[in-house]
Amino acid sequence: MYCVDIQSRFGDFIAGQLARHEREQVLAHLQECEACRTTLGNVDRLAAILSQTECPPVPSRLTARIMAAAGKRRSESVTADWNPLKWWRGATAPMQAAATITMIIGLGLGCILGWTSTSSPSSAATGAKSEPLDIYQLDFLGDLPSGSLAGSYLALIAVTSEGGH
Amino acid sequence: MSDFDISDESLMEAVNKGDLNAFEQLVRRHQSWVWKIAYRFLGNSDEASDITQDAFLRLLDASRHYRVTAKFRTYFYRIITRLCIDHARKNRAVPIDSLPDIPAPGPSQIDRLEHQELESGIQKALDALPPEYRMVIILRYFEGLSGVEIANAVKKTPKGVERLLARARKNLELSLYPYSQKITDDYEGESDDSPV
Ligand SMILES: [Zn+2]
Repeated sequence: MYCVDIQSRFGDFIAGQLARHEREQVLAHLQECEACRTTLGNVDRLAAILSQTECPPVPSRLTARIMAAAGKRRSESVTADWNPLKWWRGATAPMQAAATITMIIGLGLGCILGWTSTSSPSSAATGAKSEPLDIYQLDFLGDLPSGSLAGSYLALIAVTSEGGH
Repeated sequence: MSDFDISDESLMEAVNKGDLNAFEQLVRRHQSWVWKIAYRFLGNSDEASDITQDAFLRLLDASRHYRVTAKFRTYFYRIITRLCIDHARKNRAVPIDSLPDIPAPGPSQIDRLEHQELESGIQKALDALPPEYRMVIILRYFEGLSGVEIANAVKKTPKGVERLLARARKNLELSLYPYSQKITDDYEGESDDSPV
């Protein structure tokens, strides 16, 4: 095994984190190789120097500070999550196309119905279609027996529309 | 059931469902080692607190995507190492001349000041390392992580980590040479004094 491979294991070797067979390989190599023994001495010494440093205690207000920031972050994300058009951004392109077409058809149908319902009474006013059956398209009531409730209703609006002229 | 009976992974799942108490438990459990990594890396308590807070907020944001497949600590090591390294890249090293002066010593303070000098020498040597070198040194020597664990944290192969460590050690050995001589001398002095 090359020195470079052995030296790359020195960190784990010192920390006692090598598998048994790897540890034995390193030890066997160290017995024969002075260069690696020197390098291992340096690694060890570095660990000794670094162990001289102390870390100050963690600031006592750190938990409170993090929790305050977390609470704020959560409430911001709840506000950001409320979006009436959120479904639109989440929808796939075909879904968006289908929704657009449905909306156009709906609007178009609404316009046509609105236009016919405002234009029909004016044509009725010309007298060409003064029968309530034609004006209100109540022909499904046309063959009802006279004297029935629906028949009386038809007779009533016929009288009203004639009176209106 | 004590707080520590609940695994970090289960707490993360609770956080995902909006449980901020579970999040607070995670903060209390892990803030200390996270802050220490940041402190060793940045050499400044306020910046370490900022980075620690950022790391926990990242964790909170990421809770919806968290999958129990990764061990919590491994996952969090990645967050904190990434934040520290990015921070160091954005804020280039502080010129050593601008570091605060240590006041002149009185006789009783000499030992303490010698130690302070050693600590500040080590911190300066660490600060002078490129960010990735510095991080692998901290994870290895202060956190005691194995090569594989460091590789997971910094998203490199174990071989890559060992190469980084080898280069980082070479740099540090050079800049810490005076201190290493002193420690060796002290050690040999103590051995000579001790009765046989
Ligand atoms: Zn060798």
